[in-house]
Amino acid sequence: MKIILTGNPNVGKSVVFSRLTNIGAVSSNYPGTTVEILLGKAKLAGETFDISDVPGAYSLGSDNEAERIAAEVISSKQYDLIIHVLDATALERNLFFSFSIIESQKPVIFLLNKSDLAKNKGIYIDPKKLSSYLGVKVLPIIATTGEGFEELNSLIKSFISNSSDFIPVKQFPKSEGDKWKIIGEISRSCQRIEHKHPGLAEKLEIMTSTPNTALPFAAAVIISSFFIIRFIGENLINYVLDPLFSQYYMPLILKIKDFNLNPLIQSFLLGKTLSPTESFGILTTGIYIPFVTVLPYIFSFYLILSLTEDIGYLPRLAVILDRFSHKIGLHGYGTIPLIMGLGCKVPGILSLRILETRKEKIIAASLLFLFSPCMPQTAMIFSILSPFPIKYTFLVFGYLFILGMSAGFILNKIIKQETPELFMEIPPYQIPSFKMLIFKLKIRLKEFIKDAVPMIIFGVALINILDISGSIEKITSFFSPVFSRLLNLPGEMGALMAIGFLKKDVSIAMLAPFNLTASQLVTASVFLVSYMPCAASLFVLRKELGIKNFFAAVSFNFIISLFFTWLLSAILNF
Amino acid sequence: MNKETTLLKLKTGEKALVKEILGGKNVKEKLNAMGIYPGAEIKKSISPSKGPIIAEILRYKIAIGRGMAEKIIVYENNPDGKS
Ligand SMILES: Nc1nc2c(ncn2[C@@H]2O[C@H](COP(=O)(O)OP(=O)(O)OP(=O)(O)O)[C@@H](O)[C@H]2O)c(=O)[nH]1
Ligand SMILES: [Mg+2]
Repeated sequence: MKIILTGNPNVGKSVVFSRLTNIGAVSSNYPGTTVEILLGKAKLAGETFDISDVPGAYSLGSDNEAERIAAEVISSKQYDLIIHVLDATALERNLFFSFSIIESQKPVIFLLNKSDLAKNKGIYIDPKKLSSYLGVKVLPIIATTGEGFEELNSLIKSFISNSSDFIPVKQFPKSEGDKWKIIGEISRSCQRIEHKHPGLAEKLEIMTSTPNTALPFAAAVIISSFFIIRFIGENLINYVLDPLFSQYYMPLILKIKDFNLNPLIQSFLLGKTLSPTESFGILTTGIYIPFVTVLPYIFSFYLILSLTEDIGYLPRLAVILDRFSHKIGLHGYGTIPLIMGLGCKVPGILSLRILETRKEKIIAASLLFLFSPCMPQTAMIFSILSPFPIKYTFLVFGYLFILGMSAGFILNKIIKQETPELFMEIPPYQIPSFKMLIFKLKIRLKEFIKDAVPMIIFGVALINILDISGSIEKITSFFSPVFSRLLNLPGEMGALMAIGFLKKDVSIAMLAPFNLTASQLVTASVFLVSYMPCAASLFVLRKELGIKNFFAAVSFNFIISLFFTWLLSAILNF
Repeated sequence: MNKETTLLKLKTGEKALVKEILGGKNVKEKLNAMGIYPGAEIKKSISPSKGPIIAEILRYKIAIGRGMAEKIIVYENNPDGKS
């Protein structure tokens, strides 16, 4: 049997989904976290169900891809039960969408979630009264702690034995004005609200939303995030992972030499030199890059991002950046995919679905590639520039920022389409739960280890094979003129480009053996970050944008990147 | 007498009743689903001199672009701004 989870955005569907299925689904305190359907299985009342976590929606008439998906699933009627989640702190708005669920005349259970928050705010809802008003079963729960899930299990048990009991029994008016009238009635008779004095959250709200204070606050958040991420990452590398690698792992691996293997195989496994950043053996560099250089930064980035997400700061940041974003053809919400993309491009591209127009999608996609390097790339840039003064690191990111902004300005002029205005729910600030934070961090680290690590090792192996077989030289001589004349970089960069396409962090790592100057490293990093997205994100982007827009975005991207890298190298070598 | 104004011009902290929404069917439906319809009560939480405004409806907050806020016509029912 099949269950779908529906409801407004940000009501806690994904937390419910994770709890029922034991599959980790990312949940965050802003609308539009889930943008595609997640499938899982759950054992409820002794039976196994297929459960889908559906993106949130405010109505069935939708204006972005994520809501469209939700509307499609709901109207398909390809399910046996709807578990409809409501946010008890904003009952009325949730009820409006609930009428569409009731109209579908399928068996349904309403979960009144966030009961804990409602109580804190002095909101008391009588579930029995609400249930009789609506003609559906209503169960109060707290998804984050699991309260009410046993009752849910018993409800499902009775659903299995008699599903027709769960079909809504009441009809509601079709006219929207009448719906709001009924919602008013329901709210007056089922809900009691005690006035509470505005607390700390309200003060924070005012400070982070009133431009005079919000702008400096946003700048402080962004800058301190950068330093905290770097601090945690760097220390994890220097004091934990690098010592582990060099004191325990390397001596173990070097025992391979005792076997007197075929020299080709040995150099494939261990590389030519002993340095784990330059040897390109799959057991040395292939392990060092993903686990020592990149993982600590993935960890610290997602720690800070998850914290910011769960507190609920991202929507405020989107509002503050709105005015500025319109200059590059986006509205403030468009900055959310860009922030996601700082971790990995793939979730960034998927979250383009919260945007409405073709223009915004193309611009956000281009910016995603041009100026938000994913964490593995960022980590490699940090690592490769670590012997030089920090100003070079800032130069890379600062220049990428300028590059991205210029691209945005240009695209905004080229693509003639109105950018819709910001219109988005701002969920209340909340105190993040430590358990949820760790849970989310685990999901994201697992994803990195599952998806990215094998690709990194593969990239390193490929380089190694190309090198052993001598193909690198051929690729090199082909690209050499472009790189040496135009960008003042070694011709071998051509090979890096070929590999960078597969895995960009690896291509940046490959800069290590060339003994480049700081300026050359800066130029090369800027180019490798921006010239083209990696294979995985290209694939997803093609699916999201359609072939025509995809080619337009990618070629624009390449031209801009080449031009700006040339400009940078000209400036640096002046 | 209730004075007519737009949500954009409404002062911070003031409450108002929505009179009508100018604009196409799409905009009206979008706003309606969020609880902004003729007769709804709305409170202006933050009104910066530039950029989106923030309003409160049915105990939740929403950010609205200035152009859209200008199309939401409201009755100022609390001229002194106190509730
Ligand atoms: N206090 C409290 N917070 C909750 C509860 N359930 C969910 N949350 C929080 O609410 C936020 C939104 O939860 P999600 O599961 O991402 O919501 P969603 O419905 O999947 O949202 P979309 O994917 O955007 O549609 C998260 O920050 C959760 O931690 C609850 O019962 N109590
Ligand atoms: Mg979700």
